[in-house]
Amino acid sequence: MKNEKTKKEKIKTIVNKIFVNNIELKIASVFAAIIFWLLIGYFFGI
Amino acid sequence: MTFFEYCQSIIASFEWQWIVELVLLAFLFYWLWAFFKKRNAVWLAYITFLALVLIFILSIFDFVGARVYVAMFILAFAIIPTTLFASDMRRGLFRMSWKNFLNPSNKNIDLSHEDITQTVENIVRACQNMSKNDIGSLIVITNKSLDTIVETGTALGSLLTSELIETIFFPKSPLHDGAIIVTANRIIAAGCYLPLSARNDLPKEFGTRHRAAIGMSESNPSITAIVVSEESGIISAMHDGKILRYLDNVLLTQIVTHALVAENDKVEELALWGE
Repeated sequence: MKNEKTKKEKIKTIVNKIFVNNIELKIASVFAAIIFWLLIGYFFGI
Repeated sequence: MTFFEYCQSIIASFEWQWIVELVLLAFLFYWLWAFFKKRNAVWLAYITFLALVLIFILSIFDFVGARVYVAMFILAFAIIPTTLFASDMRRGLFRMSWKNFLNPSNKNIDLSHEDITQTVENIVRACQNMSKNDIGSLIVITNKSLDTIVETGTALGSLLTSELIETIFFPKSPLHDGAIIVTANRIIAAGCYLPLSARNDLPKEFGTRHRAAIGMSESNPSITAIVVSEESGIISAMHDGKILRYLDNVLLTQIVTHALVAENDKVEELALWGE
């Protein structure tokens, strides 16, 4: 079909989804998780 | 033991189970923040991240109130989103699906170059034809979910063609009154009602259709609205409260292409829209 995506475009889309889209949120989430986990562990002893 | 010593002891006696906990927590944060971003409330993600970093710094310096701040953060993080997005959360819970759960912030933005070109051509052709025949129309192009707006109209989900757009806006067709919502190469819904702008500096010839387009672009900066005037056939575009009028084929193509590919706000603002 004319409109079907090429293999290269599909790979690009997947790579974009993992490494490009919302990358700032992904990096921040990792840091936030570490900070939150340490704080909870220290203050509430979980 | 101070917080700093606690962090050191954690690093010294690390266990693999903790990685699982951290990964789960990171997923939770990412899912919530992507949810905020999808609803144009990315500022809430920034604020929560900054608050966490601040509490972390206070804890390192052994501030007395740090424990209270952590408790307050947990409370705020639980209460604020549920208050702000109560209706979205209720709707989301009823329509949960794995696809949306894994990628909540963009659900349909993987168009090929040909798809984009074809969609743009169709929109531009439809606008030109409607402009020639003085048929009024309002097209909202967005890459974000506009569930609350879509629910005011009739859901379509059909492939976009110029003929379909012209048919929808043909006077006396049941769906001609209202806006169509376009995402990627689909018309998601037709006959949708949009919030009106309350601005009083708009040209007098702007009617309800134009006001609705501006109102929508003000409340949702990620969208672009295209309006064809019923009286004059003039084609205008609205984005983030800004208005461009008397659009020709070239400009309209540029604006529509940009609106379609502006994925997750990564694409720089089109120079046309100015500051």
